Amino acid sequence: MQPVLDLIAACERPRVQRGPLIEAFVKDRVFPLVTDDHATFFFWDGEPYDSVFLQHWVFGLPSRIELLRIPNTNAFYLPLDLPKRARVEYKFELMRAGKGRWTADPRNPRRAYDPFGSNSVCPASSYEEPEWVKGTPDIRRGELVQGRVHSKAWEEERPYQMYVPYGARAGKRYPLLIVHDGADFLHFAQMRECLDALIAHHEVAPMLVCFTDGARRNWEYAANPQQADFLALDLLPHLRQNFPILEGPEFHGIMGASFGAVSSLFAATRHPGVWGNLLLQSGSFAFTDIGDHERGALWDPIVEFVNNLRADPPRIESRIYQSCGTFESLIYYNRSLFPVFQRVADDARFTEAPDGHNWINWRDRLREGLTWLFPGPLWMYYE
Amino acid sequence: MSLTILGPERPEGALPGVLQKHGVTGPLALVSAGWRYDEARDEPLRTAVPNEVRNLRLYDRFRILEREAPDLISRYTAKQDALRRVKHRYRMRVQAGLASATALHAEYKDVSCRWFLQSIRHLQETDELFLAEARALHDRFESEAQPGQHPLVRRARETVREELAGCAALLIAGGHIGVLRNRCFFFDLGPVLNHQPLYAWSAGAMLLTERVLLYHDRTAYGPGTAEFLDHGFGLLRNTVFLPHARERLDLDNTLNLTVLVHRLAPRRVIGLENGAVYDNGAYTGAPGAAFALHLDGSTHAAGA
Repeated sequence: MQPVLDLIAACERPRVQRGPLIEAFVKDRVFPLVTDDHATFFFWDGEPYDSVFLQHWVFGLPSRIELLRIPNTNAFYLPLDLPKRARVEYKFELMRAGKGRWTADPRNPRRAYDPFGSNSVCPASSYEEPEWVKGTPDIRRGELVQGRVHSKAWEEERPYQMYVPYGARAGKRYPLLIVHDGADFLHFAQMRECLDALIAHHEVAPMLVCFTDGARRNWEYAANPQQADFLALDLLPHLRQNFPILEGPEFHGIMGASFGAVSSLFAATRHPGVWGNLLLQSGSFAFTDIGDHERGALWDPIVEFVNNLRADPPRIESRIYQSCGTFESLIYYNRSLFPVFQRVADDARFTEAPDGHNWINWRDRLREGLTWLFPGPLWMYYE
Repeated sequence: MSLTILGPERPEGALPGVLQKHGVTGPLALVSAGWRYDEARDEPLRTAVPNEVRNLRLYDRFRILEREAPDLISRYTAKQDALRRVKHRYRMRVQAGLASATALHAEYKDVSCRWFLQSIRHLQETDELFLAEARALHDRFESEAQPGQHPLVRRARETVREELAGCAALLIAGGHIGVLRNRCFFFDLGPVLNHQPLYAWSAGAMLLTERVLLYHDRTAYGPGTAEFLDHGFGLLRNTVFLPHARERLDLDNTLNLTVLVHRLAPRRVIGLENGAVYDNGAYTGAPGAAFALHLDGSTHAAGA
């Protein structure tokens, strides 16, 4: 913050050339300025704006925070405290003549990508990108095999991508994990690279990972029985026939984030005893204690499913790893469901992270989830 | 017999210098079964030493038996499954025992406290019970399945011994200690280990002790519960080797270390790092690359 205060003081001096001052200020600096767990956002592109807002996805803060103008300039700033180890994704909203335009922070090269584009990223100084995400050239890569399965549930063919770990050999069988939103997990959460590293480091068991995608994603994943049937009755038998998969629910898992987590949990309750491992990230587990939800018709089946689950929870024959960002509005639902999972699942573990509803959060939790559900022979290796 | 123990051979291998110092010029027999499917990827070693390297291919030989002696291997697998079931119970007891010992020491910090010592004794009894059950399972398999009488196994063992007999030294590399141990025992390497100079590192060094301890403090969920894998060959008595101890153990956590070292007493607990060399019991490696862990949780560097 101090450099910005110094800039403000300099700009307040009489007869000063403020443009060159700001230009010199932004030169060679990456924004936001982060010290300890405090960030100062800064916007200036030389153009005049009526106002600039910080748009972020941090539940608990006002979703749109106005930046302060440095007097007599078109530069704006905003100091903000960050929780320890936090990551905040954001954009700027630039207002002129009553119209707003959203833009990534032009002075911040850190970006996080998702199916809708990209956001700028502000990590607290205590946030560290996990070592295992970075990868090293000596890590040998698993293979991605393209496949198709005819689905009775969907009455059409569905494509998938199967990750086969490096060193997989004939005659040996492996655990299986099925991933909702597979293409996005591969692209935005670098899940293939994460699997390569975690398996190479012996933290996660060598395993087959099937990446699937929905054709009408939101509707299919919203506690839809057809999707649950597709997973258990179409895809799993097909994969068993075509890949060396270990027998038994303890070796079979499904995972997903957001609606994908709902679909995973719903699949486990509709077909008990099939999926012994659930990895549920930022589950959209909306429910109502009284009255109606206000999230739209798409959520109706989810709310009905979760309401029933809470009212009369069935035995869930699975180990559940659950995670959610503390900056998500979904944190309330996830915190509420965890005690239910503890009561009715084989075992349950919950991680909260100071992050939002985004792919990097889901990527960063993969190690904890996968090492718990599918632990590798880390204890055995002394090289 | 000549026995040289080394720490992890990465990033800089100490082995070539030691072999040169010992004047070993003949072919070297190599056991790299701990590398599993990478067993044959021994080019870096072949490049690092001037000697001919003859890989005994124990991992590969076992895979051949999986295909060609399925009945025997099926009985072997059943024994290993039984061992896993025993281990599951062992873990439950160890976790409870360790929690008790750790809590007592955290609260009172008195290693002479009778309750603490009793909790350590319980842990040791649990370890002994597991090792006794493991031995009984192995013995029953040996007497009932008689793998040594199977013609394919007998031939494989003879081949391994013949290859070994033609070598100037035996090298046992690190890697997956479970696979390494099981293959070495299956091919009955024990009786011939001392027929030529022996060099072992990391998991290979662990294998030569009486019992093999598995440990890791830096998992995704913090310190794990140290447990015994099984018996080793017992060439080195009263010693527990901890390769990669600095990476795997939280050496600042004197509470956990105190409990661990008491549990392993009276055995010496030695951390092995890259550059460590014990040459027939005398430390000749890089200063600080090996260190002893003491009963109070402190460490003392070898060669210092």
